[in-house]
Amino acid sequence: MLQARAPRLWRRFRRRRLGMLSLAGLVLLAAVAVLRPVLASRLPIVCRYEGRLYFPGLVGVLRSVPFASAVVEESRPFSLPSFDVEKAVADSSFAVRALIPYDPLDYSSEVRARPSRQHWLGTDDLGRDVAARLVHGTAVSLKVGLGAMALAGLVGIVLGAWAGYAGGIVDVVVSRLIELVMCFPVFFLILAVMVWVEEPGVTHVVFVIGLTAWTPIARLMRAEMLRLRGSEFAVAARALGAGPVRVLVRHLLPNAMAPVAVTITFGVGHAILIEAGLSWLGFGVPPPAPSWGVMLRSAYDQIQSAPFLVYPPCVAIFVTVLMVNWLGEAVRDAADPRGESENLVPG
Amino acid sequence: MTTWTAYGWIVTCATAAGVWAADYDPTRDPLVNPASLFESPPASADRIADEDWIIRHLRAEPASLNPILTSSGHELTVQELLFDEPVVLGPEFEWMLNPAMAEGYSEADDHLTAELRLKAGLRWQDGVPLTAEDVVFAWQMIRSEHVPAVRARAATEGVVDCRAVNPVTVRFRFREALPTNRWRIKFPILPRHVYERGLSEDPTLSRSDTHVEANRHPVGNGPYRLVDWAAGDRIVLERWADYAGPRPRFARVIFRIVPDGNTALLMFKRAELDEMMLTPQQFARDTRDDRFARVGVKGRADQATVYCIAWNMDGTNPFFGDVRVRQGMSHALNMPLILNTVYDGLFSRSRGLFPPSSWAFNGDIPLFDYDPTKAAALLDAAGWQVDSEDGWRYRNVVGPDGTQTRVKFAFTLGFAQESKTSPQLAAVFQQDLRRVGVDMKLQALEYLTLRGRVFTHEFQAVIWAWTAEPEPDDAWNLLHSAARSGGRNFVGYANPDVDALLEQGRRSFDPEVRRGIYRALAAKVYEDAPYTFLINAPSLWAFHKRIRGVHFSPMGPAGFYPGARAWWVPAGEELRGTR
Amino acid sequence: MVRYVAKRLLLAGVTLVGITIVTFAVTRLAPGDPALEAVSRGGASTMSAEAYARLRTYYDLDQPLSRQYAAWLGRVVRLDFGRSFHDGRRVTDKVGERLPATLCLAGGAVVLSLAFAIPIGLASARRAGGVFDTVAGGVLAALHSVPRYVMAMLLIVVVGVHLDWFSPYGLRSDSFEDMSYPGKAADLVRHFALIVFCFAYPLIAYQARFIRGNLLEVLGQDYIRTARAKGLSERAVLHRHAFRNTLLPLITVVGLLVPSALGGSVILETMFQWPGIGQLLFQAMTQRDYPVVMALTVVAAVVVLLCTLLADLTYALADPRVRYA
Repeated sequence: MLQARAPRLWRRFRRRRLGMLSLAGLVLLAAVAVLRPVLASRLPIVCRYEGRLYFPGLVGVLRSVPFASAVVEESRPFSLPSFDVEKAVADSSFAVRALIPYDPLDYSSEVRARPSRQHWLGTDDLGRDVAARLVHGTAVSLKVGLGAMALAGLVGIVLGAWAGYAGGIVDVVVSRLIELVMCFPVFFLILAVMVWVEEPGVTHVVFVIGLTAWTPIARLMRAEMLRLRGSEFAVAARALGAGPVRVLVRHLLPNAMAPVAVTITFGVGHAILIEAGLSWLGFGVPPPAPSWGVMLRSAYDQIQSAPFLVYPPCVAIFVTVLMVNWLGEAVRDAADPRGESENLVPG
Repeated sequence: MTTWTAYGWIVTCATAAGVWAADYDPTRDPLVNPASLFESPPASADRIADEDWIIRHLRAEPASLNPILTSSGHELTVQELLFDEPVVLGPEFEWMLNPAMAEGYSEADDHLTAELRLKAGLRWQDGVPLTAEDVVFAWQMIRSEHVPAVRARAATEGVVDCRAVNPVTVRFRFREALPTNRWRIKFPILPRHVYERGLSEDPTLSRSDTHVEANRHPVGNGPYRLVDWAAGDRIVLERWADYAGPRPRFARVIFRIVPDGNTALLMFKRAELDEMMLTPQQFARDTRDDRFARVGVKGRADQATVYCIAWNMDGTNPFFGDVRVRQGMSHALNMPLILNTVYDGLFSRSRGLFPPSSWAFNGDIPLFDYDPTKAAALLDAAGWQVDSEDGWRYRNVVGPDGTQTRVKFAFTLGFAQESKTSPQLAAVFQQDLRRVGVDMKLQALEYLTLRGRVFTHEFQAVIWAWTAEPEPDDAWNLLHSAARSGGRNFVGYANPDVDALLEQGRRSFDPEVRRGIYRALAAKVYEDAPYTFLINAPSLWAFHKRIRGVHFSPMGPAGFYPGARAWWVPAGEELRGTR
Repeated sequence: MVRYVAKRLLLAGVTLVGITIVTFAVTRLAPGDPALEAVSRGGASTMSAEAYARLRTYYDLDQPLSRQYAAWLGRVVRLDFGRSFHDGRRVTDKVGERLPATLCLAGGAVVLSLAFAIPIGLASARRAGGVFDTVAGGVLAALHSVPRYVMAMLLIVVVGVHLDWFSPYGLRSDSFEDMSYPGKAADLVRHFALIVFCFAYPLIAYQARFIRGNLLEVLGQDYIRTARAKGLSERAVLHRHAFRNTLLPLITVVGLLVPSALGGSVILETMFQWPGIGQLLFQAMTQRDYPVVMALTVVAAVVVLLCTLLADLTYALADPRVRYA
């Protein structure tokens, strides 16, 4: 019976068109993030230079994959900081360029160029290609969204399950902690930490958001545990001699996961919004990193002369968050057809 | 959705206005420096509007309006209309007596004492007579260890005594006979009868309720008095009817506190502000639409602000102690591109320590050209060799214990994140240095943190700026090896030749000799590159088109005498006010 | 009941103390030295070591953290939040003069959002799955995915500046005092409209969904079936019986929205030049003005605690079972 839950959820989920669409969109987005070295880079994907075949773009992709980096050999001379790629490509007998042949940090004298065939989304105030920055920004946003919620999920599930299952003093302490964090003006705390961190980076953003976003998850988990721990199958498992950890992990957790998954999904969208908001205030991922929030802020500062710069980050944030929210709703409907609306967190 | 339609409409408007013209030439922009902006007031007073209000832009909320405590530009902007000082800065940065307050200044032949004579019958805004005792009281407070009057204390360094000879005469005694002594008595004054109250319980002037209230609603002696201060919103000043000097031209001066420059420009276009400072981007691009042309004009003039990159040479890093490295850095920087993209062609390249407006300016200094090859050669010569494996530069550095370590040329450049241009400049420089094999990381810090780091020498390199004082002797504090602790020589620069020039320059009484010394100093310092001098920032301002009588000093259109007091509006063109 | 209230109050107190400890730790462990900043405001570091030491003593910075916290807590109990590091003013004054602007905003946003959310929620619930329900749900979900600052940006530039329908900046015009009463009212509306809307629209989506969900749940229950059996119209059933039962949970939800609203105020208030506590907080943080940051955190936490407490108490009053849960 337990094992049947996940496939059943999936079967029900598959019937929701919007949810499937969002899922596909998000998978695509993740692919963009992973493949960004071949999508938007100065380095060619494949290139025959001075009689040898190089794969600088592919190496870039593999390098971002854990463990693969050890296997990949550096594609010198392309990886050298002072190497003139444009000249090398011009000299080479054969080269496949990236879809967007610009690095997100490469400036040029062509500033605030309107969208054209060369620069699909135009260039910003330093002549950097907006499309390239958008592609690389995807990775930042997804890292923050998924990373923060993975952390929040871990903390929330562990604390919530522990409190709900163990009860007693543990429950009291954890419940107090949850209430404390929930009553905390969380954005204040995040801002405080980001303002005062020495060298803020993506990791900091992930940690502050993750460590403040776990409360709804923990609350849900605790409630589910309270409900489930007296249920027949838990009692049965215990009667058959299963230890508390085994009962918890093998029997209770899988049954409590569906509503938690919904909360986590919504949280991803929320985390992306918080990151962009922090960057908006100047305390998120520091420039010149191509984060959507950073791009949005710089576009706002130029809105009076180059309004076309505003669209790409706006649309990227909006569409991503919308897809996440749709996905969350579809998961919720699939998990609990009655509909429970407590998970929609205001941005 | 309607938003999209409206948005498309803006895009169309912006396109029609030709906003994307690749480069901008301020001399051909009809809105820049129109003659009307500088028009002097007519002789007959009834052709000048008497009841208009002016709404001015403040970038931040003042912490206090006590003139000896304040220091930031935005605080001075408000304060200079509330307080008159006996000695002021003239339109061209010259030392001058305030005609409304002071009658004379004389120095003894030995240049060790001086007397300042005030006008008789001066009053504070509450009616209490203003006497020499108020000047003396202010001096005592400035010199007091308890009062955080940082800026004023630095400015009065070298005055060892100050006393009232009679109600209108103050006598100063100086430590040394220096040509710069008269600048040392240019300090703000305080109403003694207000601040003396509660001095024993709060010697800091800044922590008791009485003093905080006095700092927030000051009793001044200037042309305007404060009537309202709504926190975070606006400060309202009203004409002081009994002002002894020329009649203030605006019935009200309202300062709107708007930290965000983009917001301020939008407000200006809505005629909610009458003047504001512009960024280069705003000057060249954001002000080319009809909305702006309907309400405003732009003013542009040279200014004494120097931008540079400061290299920390105090030995905490293995890089910048070597002059060849600093010169190499200067050659690696793509200044032509930066001037065009970051500064929109509005700024001129800096020729060292002194700005063109200074009498010590040296225009003959040869500039570092953008030349990556030369930069690479200089770095090679300094021992930083390119590693053939990863392409970055390395050098063997001998530690204090004699051991050799291989160090990568990787350092951090700090800059103020509030600045609009510094992050851009840093981003360009980062790519430039990458090309010569130097790994530079960027660190955007809030200005306060950045300043703290600089003051405590905890930095490797920072983008830094200052407004040059009118007196070139200010460079002593910046460059002399004795100013490494306690002074502003944050980079830890020590060069005996420079020290000697600085000492000569501050002791000579002959202006021509001094000019020669400071010209030589500027050339020496430029070549030695403790700072890589970047640009001289011009004053870029927007004014409502009805405003006349603006003059740009080397510090901008305000901050000197008469500055903002000289602005006027022709009768019949009033925009605000009630009557 | 008295015991329940006492217990809740006690727990709220514990939570409050916990919040202050966390904030205190975060502010004090952060890099940056307020004494140094006070000394060096002005561009030169010419203050002597003794003066610096004196300043640190004045700010309690030379004490161990626990002692600093104890001293702070002791003063706060007497409602003395100390003086701002930045301008020496009493923190209570600084916060007090800013609080009304933000409270107006939060209040306006809640009223506005409920004014939209209740009719939409009712209409959606009446024909769940119908055209209105689907369309309204889709639009609200889409709106909910628009970040507040993006919406603010669009509204300021398009509606505020280019169309000039509203005044996006500040509380009132410069000539406010000289206006007639209707003029004053119009001026306030022109200044409030955009920022209040930006605060309210994400709440609309949230509340409408909440009301709909709750109504649907209630509609399945016995007493509704009874009401229907009595022959009451569907409209009467929905408004008189079902909706009344969703009011209580709605209050709780509104209470829980307050922290997020306060967080949102930081960005919105800086964009709209709104002199409220969000702006003050942002300034205080960049200036390392610890006393102000601490006071604002306490104020925000108290507001949130009060909201949840009130919600819980109303709940308990209405449903005795809660007291023993």
